[in-house]
Amino acid sequence: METATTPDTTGFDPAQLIEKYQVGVWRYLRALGCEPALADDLTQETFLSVLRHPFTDFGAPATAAYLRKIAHNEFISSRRRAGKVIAVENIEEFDQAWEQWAGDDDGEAKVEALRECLQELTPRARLALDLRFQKRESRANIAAALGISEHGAKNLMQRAKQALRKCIEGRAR
Amino acid sequence: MNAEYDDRILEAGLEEVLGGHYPPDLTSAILQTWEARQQAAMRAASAAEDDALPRLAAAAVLPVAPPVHSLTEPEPPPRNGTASLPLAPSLRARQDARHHWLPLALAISLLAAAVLLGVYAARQLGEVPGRPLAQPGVSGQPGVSGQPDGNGSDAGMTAIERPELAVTPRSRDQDAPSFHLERPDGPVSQPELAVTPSAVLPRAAIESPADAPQPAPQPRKPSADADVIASINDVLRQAWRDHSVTPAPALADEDWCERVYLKLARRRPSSDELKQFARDKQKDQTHRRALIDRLLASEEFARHWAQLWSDSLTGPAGNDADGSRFSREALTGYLAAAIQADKPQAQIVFELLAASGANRPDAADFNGAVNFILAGANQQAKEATDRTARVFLGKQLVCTSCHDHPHGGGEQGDFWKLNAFFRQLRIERGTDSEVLVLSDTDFPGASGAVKDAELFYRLPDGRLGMAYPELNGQAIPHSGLLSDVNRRRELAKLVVTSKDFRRAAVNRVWSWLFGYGFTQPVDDMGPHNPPSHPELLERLADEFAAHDFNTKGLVRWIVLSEPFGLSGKRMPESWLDAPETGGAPLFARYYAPGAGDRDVYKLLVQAAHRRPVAEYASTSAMARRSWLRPSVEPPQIIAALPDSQWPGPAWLPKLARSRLAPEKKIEHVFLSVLDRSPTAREMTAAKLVLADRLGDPSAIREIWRTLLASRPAAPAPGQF
Repeated sequence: METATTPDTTGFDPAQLIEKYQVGVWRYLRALGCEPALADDLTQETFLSVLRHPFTDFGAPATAAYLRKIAHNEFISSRRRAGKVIAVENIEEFDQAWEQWAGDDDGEAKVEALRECLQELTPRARLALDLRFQKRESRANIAAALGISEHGAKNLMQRAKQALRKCIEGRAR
Repeated sequence: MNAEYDDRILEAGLEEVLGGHYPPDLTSAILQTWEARQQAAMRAASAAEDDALPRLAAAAVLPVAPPVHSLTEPEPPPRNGTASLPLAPSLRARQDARHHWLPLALAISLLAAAVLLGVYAARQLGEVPGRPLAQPGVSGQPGVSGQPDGNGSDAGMTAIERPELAVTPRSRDQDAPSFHLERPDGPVSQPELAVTPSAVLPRAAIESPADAPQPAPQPRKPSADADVIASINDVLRQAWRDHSVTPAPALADEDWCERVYLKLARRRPSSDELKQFARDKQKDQTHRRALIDRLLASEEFARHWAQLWSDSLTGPAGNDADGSRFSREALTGYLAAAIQADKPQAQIVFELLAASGANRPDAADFNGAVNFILAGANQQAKEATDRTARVFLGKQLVCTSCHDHPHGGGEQGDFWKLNAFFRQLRIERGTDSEVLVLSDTDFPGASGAVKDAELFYRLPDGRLGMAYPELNGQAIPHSGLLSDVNRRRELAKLVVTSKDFRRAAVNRVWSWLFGYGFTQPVDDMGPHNPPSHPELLERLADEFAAHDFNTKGLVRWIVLSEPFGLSGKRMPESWLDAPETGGAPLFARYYAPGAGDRDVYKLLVQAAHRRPVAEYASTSAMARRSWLRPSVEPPQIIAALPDSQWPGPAWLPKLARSRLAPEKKIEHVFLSVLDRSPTAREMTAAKLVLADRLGDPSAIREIWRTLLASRPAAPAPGQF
C-alpha cells in the first residue's frame, strides 16, 4: 500500500502514476466527448484530485477504473458548469465498451490497428473520413465534395466505420 | 453492446489518427500544479495560524497550472478590507476597518478639492492641460488624418512620424536608421554609423503607446557585463531555491570549452584548441571570456548564427519547388556579413523589413536582405507576415486572421493589419530570369481609393473584414501612395522600437543556447503563454536595448552565466525541472543536446508533415498545406540537400524492404543514429512518417535524416 502526500517522505512517485495512466484517462475523456483542450484540463484535474488524498494502489485495472470514475465525475461537473446536457447516460455500458476498446494498453493497439485499417478503405470512403475528422467539414460540405446527397454521405461514413470496426476486430483476434 | 458508444469511441480514435489529436504528456504540468497547490495550502494554513484573517483561504486552490515564476512571487498584500473573502471578517479586522475609515475619508476630501481646483485653473487658462495633440493609433484623430487641429499643429504630423527614426537615405546600405538610445550620460554609438543630433532615437519611439500608458520611464543605463551575468545567476538560483531544486554540478573546463565551440561555431574544438584553452587557463583567469570573445569575432560564429537566423526567417520555404524565388545563400551571406560587422540587431531587422533590390549576387543592385521578404511574398505575403510576427515580435497571429486568439494572444484582424504593411510590395523579374527585384509601389486599396487604401479579408462566416496597417495599436496613415507613406519602412520602425522585439530576440537567442526559451514555443509569447522567468526576460531585454541591440553581448552574458556551465546530469530531487515533458524549464541542468525546438519528436512530426500526399487526399491535404507552413521549423539541413547527397548507409534500403514490424525498423534506425530506443511519443511520430509507406526506402531514409539532423553537430554529407 502506498500513500501520497509528498513525494520525498513516502517514496510514492506521483510522476510514475501520471505517466502510466494519463494516456488512458485522456483518451477516455475524448471518447466521452471532450475537445482536446478540455480533455487536457480534465486529465489534470483527475490526477490532482487523486493526489489530494492518500492513494492506495490495488493494481493497474483497479487504478485505471478508479481514475476513469473520477474523470467521468470531472466531465459531468464541467458539462454542468457549461450548462450542457450530459451526453452519456449509461456510464456502466459506456465503460464496458471502453474497456473492450482500451484493453490493457490504453487503446494503443486499437489505434494502431485503426491506422492500418484506414489504408484498406476505398478512396472515397477514406476521403469522406478525412474531410470529417481531419478537416472537420460539415456533412453538407462532405456531400458536396463527393458529389452525393447528405444522406449518401452519412451512409458512406457509416459503412466506412463499420468496415473499420470489422477490420480492427479481425486484427485483434 | 451499445453501438452508439462503440461509434463514439471509434470516432475519438479517428480524430486521433486523422485529426492529429494525440494524447499529450501532462506529467510535468500536473506535478507543478500539484506542488503549487500544496504550497498555497501550506501558506494559507500558516497564515491562518499567524493571523486570524482568512486572507489566503481562496488561494488554497489554484484553478490552473501557474507559471513557474508565480510560485516564486510573494503573496500580494491583502487588500483593504476582506470583502471578497468567503468568511466573515474577524473582530480584529472590523477594528482595523474602523481605524482606517477616518484617514480614508480625509484623503478623498482632499482629492476632490484638488480636482475642483485643477478644473477651475484650466478654464482660466482656456485649455485643459496635458491634452494630447494627437492620439496615436486612433483613426479619425486630427493628427492622424492629416487635418489641421484646433491648436494649429502641423497638419501632416502623425503619431508615428513625430517619434520618427531619423533617416538620411543615400544608398541602400545607409538607408537604415541608427539605433541609438538617448541616455542621461550620452548615447553609446557604433563607430561606423554617423550620428547626428537628429539621428538620436526619441524616447517616444522606444516605447509603444500600448507599452507605456503612463509617462515613459528613462531608458536603462547599460550595466556592466558582470552585473548582467550576476542578475542571471541570482534570478535562476532564487528559482532553484523556491522549487527545492538542486542544480547539476558544473562542467569541467574542457567540457565547457567543447560546449561553447558547439554552440558558437557548430563544431567541436580540435585537440590543439583544447590545449591552448588549458594553457590560457594557467596564465589567466579570464580564459573563458577570452575564448568567447575569440569565437564571437570569428567567421565561424557569423556563418553559424547567420544560418540559424536564416532558418528562422525563411522556415521550410527551401522545400519549395520554386526555389528560384529567393536565394537562401544570399540571405545567409547578408546575415553573416551583418553579424561579422557587429551591426545592431535592430538595424539588421530594419534592413530586412525595408529591403529593396535584386536577390542574386550577379545582379547590379544586389541586396541579399530582400530574400527574407521574397521567401514569403507569395499569396499576398501571408508567410512574410507570419514570419515577421513570429520571429521579430514573438507572436503567432495566424489564428487572428479568422477570429480572436482563444487565449488573449490577439484580436481578430491583427494578422491582416500586419499584412497590410506588405501591400505595397512589387516584385519584378530582372534581365536574367533568375533575378527578382523587390521594390515598393503605390497600393490602390481593395476598393480603388488610394488615399484610403484598405484590404479586405474573408471571415469564416463569409462576411468581409477590412484592415489598415496597424501594429500594437499604432496605426499609420491609410494612404497607399508611396509618396505619402512607405508602409514597410513604417513597419520596420514600429517593429524595432517595440518591446516585443527585444523580448523576442532575447528569448530566441536564449533558446538557441539552452535548447529551451523562456516560453514554449519561443515564437508564441503573450498573456496566454507567460514566460518561465519574466523578470529575467525583462532585464535581459532592457539590457539588450541599452547595449544597442548587440547580439554578441547578449550571447556573452548567457554563455558566461552559471546555468550555461552546468552539466546535463539530472539530480534525483530535481524532477520538477523537466521541460521535456511540457513543464516550464528551470535551467537547473543543461538540457540534452537536440532538446527544445529541434527535439526528435518535433522533427519527426515535421517529417510526417512533409511526406508525400496520397492521391486520394490530394485536394484536401494540398489545400491545407498551401495556406501556411507548419509552425515548427525543421532544420534546413534536412530540406536543403538533395537525396543524392544523403544516400544513407547501405543497410537502409535493406531495412526498409525487410519483413520486420514498423516498430522494429524504427528502433533500428534510432539505435543506429542516436544510440537509444525511441520514446513512446517518438515512436508514434515516426510511425506517422512511415504510415502507408512501410516498404518504401525513402520513408526510412527520411527518419534517418531527421534523427541525424537532431544531433548537435551534424556530420558533413561526405562522411557517410
